[in-house]
Formats: sequence, structure tokens, C-alpha cells
Amino acid sequence: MIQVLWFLFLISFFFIYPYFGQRTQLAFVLRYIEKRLAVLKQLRDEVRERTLNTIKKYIDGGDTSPIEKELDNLLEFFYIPPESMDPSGIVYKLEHILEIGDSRFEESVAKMAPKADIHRVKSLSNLVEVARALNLIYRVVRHYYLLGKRMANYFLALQIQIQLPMIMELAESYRQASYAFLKGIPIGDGVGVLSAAKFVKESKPISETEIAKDTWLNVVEFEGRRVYVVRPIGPGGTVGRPGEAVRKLVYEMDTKPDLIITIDAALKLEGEETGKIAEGVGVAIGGPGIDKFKIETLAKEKEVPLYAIVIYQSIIEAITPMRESIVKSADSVVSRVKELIKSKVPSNGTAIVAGIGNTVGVGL
Amino acid sequence: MIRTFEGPGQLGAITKLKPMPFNPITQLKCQSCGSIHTRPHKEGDYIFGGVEEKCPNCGGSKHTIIAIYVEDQRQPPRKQT
Ligand SMILES: [Zn+2]
Repeated sequence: MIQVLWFLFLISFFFIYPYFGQRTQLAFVLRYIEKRLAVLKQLRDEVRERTLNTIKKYIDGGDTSPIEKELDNLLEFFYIPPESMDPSGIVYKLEHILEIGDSRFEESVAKMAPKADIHRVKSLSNLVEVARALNLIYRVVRHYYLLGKRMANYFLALQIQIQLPMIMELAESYRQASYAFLKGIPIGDGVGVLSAAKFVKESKPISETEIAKDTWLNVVEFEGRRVYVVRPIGPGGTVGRPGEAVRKLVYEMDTKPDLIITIDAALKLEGEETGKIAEGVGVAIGGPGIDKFKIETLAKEKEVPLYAIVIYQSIIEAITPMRESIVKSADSVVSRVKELIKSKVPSNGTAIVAGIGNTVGVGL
Repeated sequence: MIRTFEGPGQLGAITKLKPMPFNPITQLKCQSCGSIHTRPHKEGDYIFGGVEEKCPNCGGSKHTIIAIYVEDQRQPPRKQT
């Protein structure tokens, strides 16, 4: 008798488990996503609220509802990347699209906050970008959550669950980034700009000018060499157009560089220390790749050696207020740049140094 | 029917956000005596910017901001890495 019962139990388990087991797992996974989705929504709302309150400080008074509406429009703003089936010339198409997007953002922010000065407008645009990124993260996670739920599909839900710890970390750092842009505090990504600026302060100035949109050129003398230092204009939050600036230097101003050095923040691997400096070859510029492409192209054509100095940090450290160890590394970067110039550029030669990154909180 | 996710609480999950643990510090260099001192960051500070403040060392009033940062978080050493 007991044997029959045991047999029945095993058989039923055999048939029920495959269905029931996955249902249970799905319920657990959905619950897991749900909790984090609620946090993501809070993060998004908090940053939106903060952005709105900051913009309201710069209005002439009166009705604020059109501002709220305009901000919500910007939060849903999107970029359509150019068609890549025929990739020839795609870099310039992408550049064109991104430039339109950038000016649309800046124009809207300037219109919403008429009392803000030019640097403030740039930082505010960054703040709106951060709010937009958080909105996008929230929408994507919600999409997979609802899709997994509606289809009762464990694997759809699992896909987003696997990535959620990283997504949550990123969302939290966006929140901290919003604080940096709000208060105008330098972020980790700005260390390249800071290093370039320090190099300028320690050399003999010759001339300076705005060479491209939001991009400043300092011509300095360093131990008999002419050094062209390119960096975004602060202290508003902008990355400038370093690629365009170097292109102008070489093609329009007929500079013949013996060396191009780019300085940028780079992503460290887990377990590495923040603020570690490394040297290599190539162009150290992140982002969509337009500036990188321009400098690589001209360097190949003119046969200029490309050197890069990077400062390692995590993605979180790169977009949140600058850490002490990163600030300290800027001085070591400057001495590395000086050594490089001394060893690779003949005396009375020419070098281009580009400080790459977001210049929020770093003045000229 | 698609149930959209309306907000925290609706689906029973409420998690309070942690406050942000920041106190950015501004490092100033006195232009008359060259001494370096720090104070909490104020809005409007930026690196290489000038500020009018009384120097605790010599009493001069002109300062240049040389760094703005948050202190590294000291993590308790792990047993094994
Ligand atoms: Zn003093």
C-alpha cells in the first residue's frame, strides 16, 4: 500500500514539477524585478524633480507648467543613429545628428531658464541628460518586467534580472551625477581636462583662443617646444569638440605636430585601484567615436605618433563627484606628459595635448 | 489586459532611497602666503576660480581654488584578495 502511494507521489511530482517549478521561479524573479523597478522609479522622479526645481530658480516668474511640459518632452527625446548599411561617411552623419540634438537640448534649456548664464545652461543641459538617461533605464526595465509578466516567460524576466545589479548601480551613480551637475562639482571624467589645464598653468603662455564650439586652445612653450593644448571650456558641463579642434589645428592652422597626446579617464577593471595612470598608444576618447575617428584619420595621413595617457576609474566614479585619489593623480599625469614631450618631441618641435572629458566644475 | 506599473506601493514594494553621502571639499590656496587650506564646498566654486575669503594664516583675502573632491571612502580591509 505504502509503495503505491509513494509511486503515485513520484509520478505526480514528475508531471507537475516542470510546469510548477518554472512558475514558482518566475514569480520569484518578477518579485525581484518589481522591487528594483520601484526604486528606479523613485530615482527617476527624484532627479526629475531636482532638475525642475533647479530650472525654476532661473525663470522670470509666472506660470511654471509650460516648463514642466517642456522638461517632460526632453526626457522622452531620442536620437536615431544613421543607417549603417552603406557605412561610408557615417561618422559625419552621426556627428551632424548629435550636433542637432545637443543644440536642441541647450536651446530648450536656455529658453526654460532665461536667467541662467552660459555655463549654467550647459550644466543644466547635462542635468536634463542625466534625467533622460534615468527615464530610459526605467522604461527599459519596466518593458522587460511587463513583457515577462504578460507572456509568463521566465527567460524574458531572467534576462533583465541578470543585468539588474549592474543597472541599479548605474542608476544610483546617475543620481549622484545629477548632484554634481546641479552644484557644479567636478566629476571623475573631468580628470583629463584638469590635467591639461594644470599643464597649461605650469608652462609659459603664448596665446589662447576658442578654436571650436566649447573648446579652448592654449598655445604654450615648454622647454623650447611649442605645445598646443586643447580642452573644453569650463566651468559649465561640456565635453567640447576635441576632434574638430585638432583637425582645425592641423588642416586650417597648418600646425605640423611631432606628437599628439590625449588624456582621458578610462574604465578600470574590478579590483584595480582608482586613479592609477597608464600610458599607451592610440586616441583615448570615449563617447560616440567622432572625435576619435577625426584624430586617427589625420594622424594616419600626416604620420603623427599618437600617445594616450589614461586615468583608471570605475564607471560610477567617472560620473560622480571627483574622488580625492583622482584629483591627486592629475599632478602625476602632468609630469608624465612632460616626460613624454621631452623624450618624443625634438627641441623646437611641436606637440598637441588634448584633455578629454566633461569639464563641469573645472575653470579655464 | 496589460497592467502598467504605476509606482511604488502599488505592487507592494516600497524601498526608501538612501540619502546621498557626500560632503565635497574645496581646497584653496592663498595668493599672498601660499598656504593651502580646505573648507566645505559652496555652490559657485570651481577649480582655478578665485574667491574672496580671509586667510587663516596671513589674513590675506585672495584665494585660488586648486581642487574640489569628495574624500575616498575608507573600506575595511578584506581578509583575502
Ligand atoms: Zn595667506
